[in-house]
Amino acid sequence: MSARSLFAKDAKTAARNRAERRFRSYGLAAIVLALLALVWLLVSILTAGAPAFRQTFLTFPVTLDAQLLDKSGTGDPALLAKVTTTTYGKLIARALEAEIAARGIEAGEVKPKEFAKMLSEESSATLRNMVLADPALVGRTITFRALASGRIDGYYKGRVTMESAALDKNVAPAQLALADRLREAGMLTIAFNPGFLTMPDASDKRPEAAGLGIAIVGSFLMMAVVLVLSLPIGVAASVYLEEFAPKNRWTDLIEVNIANLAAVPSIVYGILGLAIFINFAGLPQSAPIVGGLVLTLMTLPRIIIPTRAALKAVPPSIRDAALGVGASKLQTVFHHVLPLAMPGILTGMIIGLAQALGETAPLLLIGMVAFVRDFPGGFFDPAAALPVQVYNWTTRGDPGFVERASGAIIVLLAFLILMNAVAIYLRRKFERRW
Amino acid sequence: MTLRCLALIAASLSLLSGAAVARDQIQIAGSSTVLPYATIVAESFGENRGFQTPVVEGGGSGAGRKKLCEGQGGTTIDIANSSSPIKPSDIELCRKNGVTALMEVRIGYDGIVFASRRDGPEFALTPEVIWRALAAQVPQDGVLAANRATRWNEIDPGLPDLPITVFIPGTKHGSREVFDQKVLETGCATAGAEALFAAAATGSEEEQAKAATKACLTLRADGRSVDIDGDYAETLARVAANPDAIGVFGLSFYENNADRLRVATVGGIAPSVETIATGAYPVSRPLYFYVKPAHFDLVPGLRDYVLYFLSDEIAGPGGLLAGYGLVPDPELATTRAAVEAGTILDMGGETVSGGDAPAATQPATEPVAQEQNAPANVGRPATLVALLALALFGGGAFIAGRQRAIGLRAKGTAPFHSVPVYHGALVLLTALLPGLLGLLAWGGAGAGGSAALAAAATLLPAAAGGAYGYGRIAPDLRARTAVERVVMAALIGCSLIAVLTTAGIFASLVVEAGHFFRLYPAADFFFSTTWNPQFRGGSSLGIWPLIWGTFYVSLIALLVAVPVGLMSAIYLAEYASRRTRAWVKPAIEILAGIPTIVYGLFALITVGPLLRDWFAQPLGIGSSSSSVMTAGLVMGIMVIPFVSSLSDDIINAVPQALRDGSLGLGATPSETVRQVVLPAALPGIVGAILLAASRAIGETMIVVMGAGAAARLSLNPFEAMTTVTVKIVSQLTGDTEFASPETLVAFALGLTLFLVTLALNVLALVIVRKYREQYE
Repeated sequence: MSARSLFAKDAKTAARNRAERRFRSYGLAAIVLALLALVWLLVSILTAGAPAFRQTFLTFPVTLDAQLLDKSGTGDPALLAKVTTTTYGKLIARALEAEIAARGIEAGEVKPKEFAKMLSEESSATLRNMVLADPALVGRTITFRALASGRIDGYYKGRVTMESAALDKNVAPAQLALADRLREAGMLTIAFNPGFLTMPDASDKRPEAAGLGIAIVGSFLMMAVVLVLSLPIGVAASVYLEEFAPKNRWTDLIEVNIANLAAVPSIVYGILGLAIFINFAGLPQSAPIVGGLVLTLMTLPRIIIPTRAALKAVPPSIRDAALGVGASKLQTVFHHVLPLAMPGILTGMIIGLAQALGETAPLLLIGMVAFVRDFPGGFFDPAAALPVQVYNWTTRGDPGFVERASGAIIVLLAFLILMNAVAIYLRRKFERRW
Repeated sequence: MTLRCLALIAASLSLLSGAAVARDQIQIAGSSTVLPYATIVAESFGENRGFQTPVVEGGGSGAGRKKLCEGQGGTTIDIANSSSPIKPSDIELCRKNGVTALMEVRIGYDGIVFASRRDGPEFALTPEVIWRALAAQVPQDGVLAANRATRWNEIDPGLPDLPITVFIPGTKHGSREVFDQKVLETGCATAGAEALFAAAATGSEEEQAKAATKACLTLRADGRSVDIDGDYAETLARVAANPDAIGVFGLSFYENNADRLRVATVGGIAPSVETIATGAYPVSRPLYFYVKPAHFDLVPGLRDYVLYFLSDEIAGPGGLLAGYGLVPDPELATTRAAVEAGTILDMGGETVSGGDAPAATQPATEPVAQEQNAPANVGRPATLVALLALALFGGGAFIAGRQRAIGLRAKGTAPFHSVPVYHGALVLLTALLPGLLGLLAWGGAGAGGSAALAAAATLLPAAAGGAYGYGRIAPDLRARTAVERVVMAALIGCSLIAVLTTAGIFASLVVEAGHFFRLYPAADFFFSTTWNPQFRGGSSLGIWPLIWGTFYVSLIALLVAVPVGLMSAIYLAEYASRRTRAWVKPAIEILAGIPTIVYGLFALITVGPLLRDWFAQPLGIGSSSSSVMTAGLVMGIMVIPFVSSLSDDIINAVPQALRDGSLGLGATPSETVRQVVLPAALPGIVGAILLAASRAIGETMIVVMGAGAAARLSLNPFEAMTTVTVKIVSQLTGDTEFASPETLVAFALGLTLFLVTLALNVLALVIVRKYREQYE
């Protein structure tokens, strides 16, 4: 038997070291996989959604013919409001035809009367609203920026090609060719579309005009309800459970209950909301108040858990000192423990709100999927919600809505990042080590 | 006590709901087929008519009609869209709830078309050909035999030599009813099979006819006829992936996707708005909406909306809706005249006029809604006024109480037990509580009368209580103790909300599930292996296919999440440097913070098509982009952080001494992890995995968008399957009637889901808790 140095590896040690390296690389691979999945998810959503923020517009002068719009010549707003979008549509069609002729742009096979089919149906409504807002415009010539139709827009985003257009009854290849020439002439531009963030939802005929305005307002109203209800209730419940509750079977039951509620599938809260708030209490469908109440019930346990952790983190010496100088137990908690725990509580609150903001399933069951065009005036008016709007758009027939659904996700994620950033900032700023 | 609690809750909720009534938006709900048309009209109406844009909701014909029949007045909807005529049970419900007048408005027809991929061959079909391709049994030489046709040209030599695959709407869809009636039954009769089926059946003539119809509608189960439970977009995706397949679509859907589909002729006629309107193309169904004439005076613009919808420029030939694929009703002018004349539906008899028979006429007189609505209209402002008055009064009471205590203390008669603030707070409470009780009593009594009455009902008790509290202020009054007792009661009350929520969930599920089990045998629900909801009753609602789908998706999710999550937890806890850990851990946790709708969209537009094009189709094992694999994979990514974060905490909690001992004996770090750390942490890790499983089972949006809607027991992970949560959503928002087992089954499913996740959660919590105690 030869003498073995401890420094020379025998076969078994080498095998063990190889196993060690393998194990380590599995761990690393797992982390890389998880991070790659995250990157893949974000990149896929961002690339699919980014085009929603840019839109194709056609810009041309429109003469607001007083003969058509204001036959009485009085400028009376009530009479102006009687003129329908059909009339404005004709006005726009005529103006576009004139402008293309004036610029000498080759129309190809597109008949002059059909130029206006390249525009969104929304444009006549936009023009009408402009005139109703400012009746002095009647009789003047204004530069009008109209949304291009969804198919033309899709052509510049790669969704529509010459081949697909040949088969599509909503657009013809000749129109696409004309669009290219309009672009060279500078009439057709692709620009940032603020309407995506401010305009209401639109019907299936005009995907290009659909926006997130009402969904953002609706989500904001719901979050207001959740905040106003769940902050005081959540803090009160946590204070009781952490500071006062005797340790017995009942409080144990409540604790298990809360831990379980935090893990109950969110769709079950939707069933609860449908049964209690809508069927039993008769609250209106699609209203932010109902959505807010359901989300409050769902968020409460998710807030109570971090709030209790924050209260627990306050050292007992603080309580002892307060009690020692004669404060009552409630005074101790409200004057000393709670203020010290507040940063932790707020952080938990914001993270709970962020979760509530992204929740979809329960809202589907309580009718937050409605088509709403008027901005809500309060908590009881119908509204939409951001995540539900995403779902709603994925079920529509026109392919243009898929891009908008991804765009809406970007907006939703932006809000979530903002809220979490605030939470992290608060935690960093007020974090205290005892 | 419980009763009193409930009464209090009901009263306060009724105060809230009274608040909801004064509305100036028309509210519409119902059929998802009518939904796009209704939104187009609503949009145009809102733009042109100076009224607010109506609020339009989908949710299915059945749910819409149920909501319509919930009663009269501002809290109920005005119009229900419906893709089928109203059912006697709906009318029964309407009558019961005081809705005595409805108008039936037929808006046009929806064509059902057959289409294949754009680059595929032309198909010239007839109902008989379709029936012969899909039926379970077909006549051969005058005898019934199992259907063996596998290629189209075996049925008709004129058809292409291609395998038969047809995607037809699932049984929850309204369009399936039309397909059954207009295609299968017609085809069955033309093929001469109906007579054969009838002859084969026993019993009376009526029973024979019934059996024949049933046999005609029985489709082959060898995968050539595929039910699509999702929407047309899903059918389109399946057809786009399969060059030989034929799919069934709505005309408007086809027309808006004509660049990708080639339409088949039926009986030599190509479907179009014109051919369907003349009746030359046979497969179509009427679309309706039902409106409450009683609401004409209640909701501004409702009557205008109905007439606007029926005007020629909207629903007429060449109108706005025809441009989107609605087939105009040739009798539009008649319907319009009927609405103008106030013609309402005959709700007296058992059978109700369908689309073909003209509705009976009755004058519309409806004062009920006005009366019902009047007090409710007062509700919101009155409640607000009363609450505001109470708040002001309370503020005053607080200041008065505190000032009096300060004044008394300054006189220095005796040392005070409590500081003045507590005296103020006590007066505030003695005023506030009776005031709130008064307001609740007013709400409980029906919230009638004016705002002044509400304020009086609130302020009188408040003043009395406040005066009593004010009078009691004295040096030896233990105001602080009293206030603290009330605050403590409030704290306890808040912590009880969690218990109340659980009780509410349980009660709402149990009550409705009870209704379901009264209509449908529990044994069939729990033990049957077929899930096949039918339009005309006689559904099989066995939970097993759904449980299997749920289990399969969750299993794949865990197969992804557990190895990845656990290994990254081990690496982070045992190997990673502090700096790596500081950024990797939060980065992985981002995955848990992303809303599930994002994962759903990711599954729908990225993962699903990718798996289909790169795995399922090349391997020849599936053509669907929504599949168990898609949903499982995406859900696996979502639950990675649930496994990794909790496991990481638990591995960190294993005492360092154990590691040191193992390493000291010469074990490598990986041996230490495998043989010492993991066994010690095992219970906690099991708990973490159980929590992740519970999360996966209850997840909704990913499976709704990624897993498909077909209930089947299959092992192929590239098939579309469905889960319990998907069916909760789809049955509650389907075209079926609400009071039917097909809808109520959602509550039984919800109850099952709740109990299963409850068991998993409690088990996991108990394990994790026990484990923590062990090392603390």
